[in-house]
Amino acid sequence: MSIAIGPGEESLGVDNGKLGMWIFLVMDAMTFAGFLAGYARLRWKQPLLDGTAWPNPYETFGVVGIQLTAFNTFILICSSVTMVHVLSDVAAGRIKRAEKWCLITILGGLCFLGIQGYEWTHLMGGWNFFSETPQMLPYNQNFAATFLSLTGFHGAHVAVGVMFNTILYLGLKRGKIGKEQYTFVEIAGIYWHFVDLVWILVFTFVYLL
Amino acid sequence: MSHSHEDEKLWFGLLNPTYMWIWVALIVLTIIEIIIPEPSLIGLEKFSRGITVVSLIGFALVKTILVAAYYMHLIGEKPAIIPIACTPFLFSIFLTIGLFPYADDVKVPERYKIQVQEKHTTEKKKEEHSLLKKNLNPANEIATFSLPKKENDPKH
Repeated sequence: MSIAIGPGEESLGVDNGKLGMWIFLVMDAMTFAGFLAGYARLRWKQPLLDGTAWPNPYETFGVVGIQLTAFNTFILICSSVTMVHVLSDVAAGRIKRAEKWCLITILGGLCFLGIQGYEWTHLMGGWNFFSETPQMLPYNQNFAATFLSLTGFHGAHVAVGVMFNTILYLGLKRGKIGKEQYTFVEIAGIYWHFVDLVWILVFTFVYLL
Repeated sequence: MSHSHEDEKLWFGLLNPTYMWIWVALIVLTIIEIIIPEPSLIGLEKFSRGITVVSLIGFALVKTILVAAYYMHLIGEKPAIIPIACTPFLFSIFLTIGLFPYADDVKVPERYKIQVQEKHTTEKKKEEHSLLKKNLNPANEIATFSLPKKENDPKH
């Protein structure tokens, strides 16, 4: 009887690495589920004090702010497509093309982080989040708390994804990842698409609802 | 276009154009999502809150399923992975239902109550004070044209 523990071995008919990534993502998705459920619970709550009702995102961020984030969503969706091209090119043995797609994916992730950083600094300045008398804010503090925790946790995932993709890019460039190692590319892809998937939900719940 | 078994294993039975169609679908759905809460962007009247919430959550779920099924290859994956991937969805549904504030008369912590009362009392006092300043009786708002008498005033 053989025990499937080595790299490239399979459990449940799936590659061990891939299964491991899926199980990690399940755990991660549950953390996001906790954040989103907490957000939903706080949003349902009746306001206790005047002026602390949940703000309308379009009024808080402004149409321009929402459109900037929509552009960010567009970048992330595009970087998901480029990641899929990395996998299909590696599977077809076109490593040079895969390198280029991988570089575009990394740039997409960095662009997303840059825009989010700009948004955070901009909003923190406007919200007086670090003000000495936060109770004087004209909107619910829960809004700021859930917004920053959700987008911050997601932003950390994007940052890790960029690092993951950079390792992948270097591997492709140095010839360490080829057609035979496409499972590694697929695992990196699954992580990156998960980041995109979570952003779809965060964008809808925090910015649009 | 025919594919060998090995090709199918590598490509998960999917062709490149499928990825691009999913990308187009994601972009179109995102544009629709942006318009729904602010229909004035294309000159429409505002939708009701119910329609906005249900359609936005519906579109978000469709996008999520598209990404998970096609980009994360769940559609061509071994059946064992699918229940594992669905676990967080079930978890989030249970969590949301469990956290739902069913009771309308949710117990408000005492410290918040005090804050509310204090705020109201201060506002009331301010109002009374401003009325007194104008020499008006706060009780019935009739002008008295005299200062209120003090009980232990030595002059009287």
